[in-house]
Amino acid sequence: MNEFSITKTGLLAFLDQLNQDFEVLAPVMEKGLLSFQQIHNSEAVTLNFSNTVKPPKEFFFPQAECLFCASCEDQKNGVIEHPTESSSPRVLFGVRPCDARSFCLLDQVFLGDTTPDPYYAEHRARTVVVAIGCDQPSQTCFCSSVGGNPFDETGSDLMLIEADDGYLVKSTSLRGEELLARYGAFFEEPSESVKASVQKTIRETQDSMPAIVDVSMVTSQLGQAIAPDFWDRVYEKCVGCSICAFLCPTCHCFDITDEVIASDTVRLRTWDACACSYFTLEASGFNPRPTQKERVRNRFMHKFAYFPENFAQIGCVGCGRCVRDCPVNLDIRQVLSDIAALEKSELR
Amino acid sequence: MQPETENIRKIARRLLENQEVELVIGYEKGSLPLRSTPCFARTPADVDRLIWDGTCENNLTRFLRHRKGRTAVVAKGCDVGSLVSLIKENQLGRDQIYIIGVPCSGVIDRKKISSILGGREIQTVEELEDSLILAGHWYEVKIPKEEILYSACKTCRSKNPVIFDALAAEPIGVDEASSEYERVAAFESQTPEERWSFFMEEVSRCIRCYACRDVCPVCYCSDCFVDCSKPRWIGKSTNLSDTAIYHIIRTLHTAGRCTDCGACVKACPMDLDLRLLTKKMEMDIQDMFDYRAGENLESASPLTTYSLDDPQDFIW
Amino acid sequence: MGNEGMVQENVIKDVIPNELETAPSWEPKIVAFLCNWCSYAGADLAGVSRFQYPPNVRVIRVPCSGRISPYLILRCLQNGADGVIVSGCHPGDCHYLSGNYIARRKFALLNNLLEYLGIEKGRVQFAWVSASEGNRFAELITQVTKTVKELGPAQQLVRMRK
Repeated sequence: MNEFSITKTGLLAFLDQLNQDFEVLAPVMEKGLLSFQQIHNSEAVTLNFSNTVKPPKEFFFPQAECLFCASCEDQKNGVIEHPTESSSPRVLFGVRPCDARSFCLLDQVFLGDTTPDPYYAEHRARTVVVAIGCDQPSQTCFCSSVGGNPFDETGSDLMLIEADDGYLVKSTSLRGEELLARYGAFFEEPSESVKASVQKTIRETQDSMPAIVDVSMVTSQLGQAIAPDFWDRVYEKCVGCSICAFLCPTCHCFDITDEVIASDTVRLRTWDACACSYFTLEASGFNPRPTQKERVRNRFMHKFAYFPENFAQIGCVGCGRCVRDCPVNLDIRQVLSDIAALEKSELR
Repeated sequence: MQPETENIRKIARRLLENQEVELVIGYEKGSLPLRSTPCFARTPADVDRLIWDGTCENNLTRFLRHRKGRTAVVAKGCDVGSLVSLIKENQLGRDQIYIIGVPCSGVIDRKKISSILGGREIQTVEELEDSLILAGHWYEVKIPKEEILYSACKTCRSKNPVIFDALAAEPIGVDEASSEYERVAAFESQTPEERWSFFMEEVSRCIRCYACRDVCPVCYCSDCFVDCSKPRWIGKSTNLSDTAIYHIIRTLHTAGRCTDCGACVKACPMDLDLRLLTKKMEMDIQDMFDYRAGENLESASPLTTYSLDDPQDFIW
Repeated sequence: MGNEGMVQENVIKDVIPNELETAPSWEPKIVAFLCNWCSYAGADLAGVSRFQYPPNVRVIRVPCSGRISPYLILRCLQNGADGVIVSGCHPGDCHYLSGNYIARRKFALLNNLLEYLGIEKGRVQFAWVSASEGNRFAELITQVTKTVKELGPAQQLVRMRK
């Protein structure tokens, strides 16, 4: 593991150089909304930010992905084609540790087992992840409650931590090491002052973010079949939109539909959300999750019971986007606390 | 404690004790500074959590669907307007709901505050009559409420509920209207190219979460056109054309029924200016058909009726 | 709903094959929703009377102009139509008594909203054409075709891959 330091101006110069060799995606503030966008100039990058509104999963698992298409134009003859999207190397810069960790979770879903998803794999393979540690977590952040921390290195190739007037830069993977070697000219040996400053930052930030719930207790309680009327107290205000699922870095449910667009027929994979009424609607008309109660319950079961059972990991990275943007303030953290606090009498 | 809070709790307690209603839907303190959240009160302990303040932004009439028995709902002037639309459309019986009306001078726009604070987080809030004192790490600011009201609240014409069973406070004085169509007029003064370009930019941010639809009290169709797959009216992706159609059609579906409660804009995570469209419809319906949604239970909904003199110079 | 929706979808797709061309020989594709009792009969009369009008129009017969939802008009523009006409009975003459009156209100709102958003004026045209107005029907098609031809291929709401 290599450690270097870089000044703020040095970082911008580094990004401009990267832009020559990679497609660079970075946080950009536009019309009051922060999002990852392709930049052509490091001036466009916002470095002082909390987190983007949308999670970066869209770069590996796009909201709408064409799986294949066929055209009825004469020359094309209805032959099935695979879309040729860009396959140039990319740098995803400015990812928070929670989001970087989410990539590893999504890897389990899309790359695990014997049949990796080729679309996801291709996006993943060509992307270097440069994370920036959180020295100012939001009120809505709770990564430390779900097995993460503000400087978690899981899922990143490089980690930047703000120090003095620049950043400490750590390689957190082989790919990160190679990148640092390739662009070594931009980096310097970190001074003792920088290293000490970073240690202090890490310690203080972690101290400021104790876990707010014992999530293993949550998993254990959920595994014991909570009496249904617990959920009566939770679900009623949920309006069944898709904000929590779409803004969640780890949510990965999708729908596959065939659409006709111009003269093409396209098989599309699109994001879907278990909060939606038709999510489990079957062709017969039967819906095993007929009311919002079952659907809200499912969200918690999936993230904190089923996912841990399947992948030995909590299906949530504590980024807090659902807390921030839920239109009715249905706070996942409160529900988790309530679940953990359930008495034996409320379990079955 | 605000007087409204005390009154709401008193009314709720009485209604539940006398079994006049099975449920009181109101607001309780949210989990974040400057947020409240819907509260479904059925017991005395629940009632003690009910509050009223400038953060009570949700339109609670959205939660009255498919309920048996009688329900009480805390409703601001705009929310009561939604109730008028819902009763008119036979979605609710008047006697099924007990309206706890709250005269409201406006609700706080949390995103506007966030933008004023430059993203700095709020630790403490002190609500004064006309302003808020917000404090956090290394700062304290006093912001006049009128600067941070939701845009719909700034030009509100329905501050006092038009129908109610009890009022939680004295009616508020209403200023003569207002510049409520200023934004529409400003938009209309632009060229068609500028308008289309703006609309496309707004629509390009939409993530099709349908929160706008799901929080809207008058979007109650059991099979919404966007969810229908046979036939597939619009595609499921964020294709710009489909997204534009979604917003245009939803605007037309709610035209004459929308009372500008603003629930849609409050819910939108991508800050789409949805009221730009809905206010245009509201203005046209007033001009062309002399109708204003949410004002009274008697007038017929504009698209369920007609006049022999309806405008038709656009028809060849 | 049954099958009627499916048939409708197919009709719109079949009637509008999709090509966007800007060659000088480009001809606009115009979809006309005609109410069965007046406008469609008027179109028929134009035919038997040999009134000439441009061949750019594809007709979709509907029971009443009141049946036309704004969605149908917009979908035409999404799928390759350069112009859309909706024509019904004159007010007072609706076969179903008030269908066209209700439609008139809907169309007024749609028309205003589309213009407000910057959709090119003239792409969507509403008309009242009676069963006896064969020459008027021909006139309507001629005018709209001319207007749309000048506007060029419709691009604003066209559904594309990206």
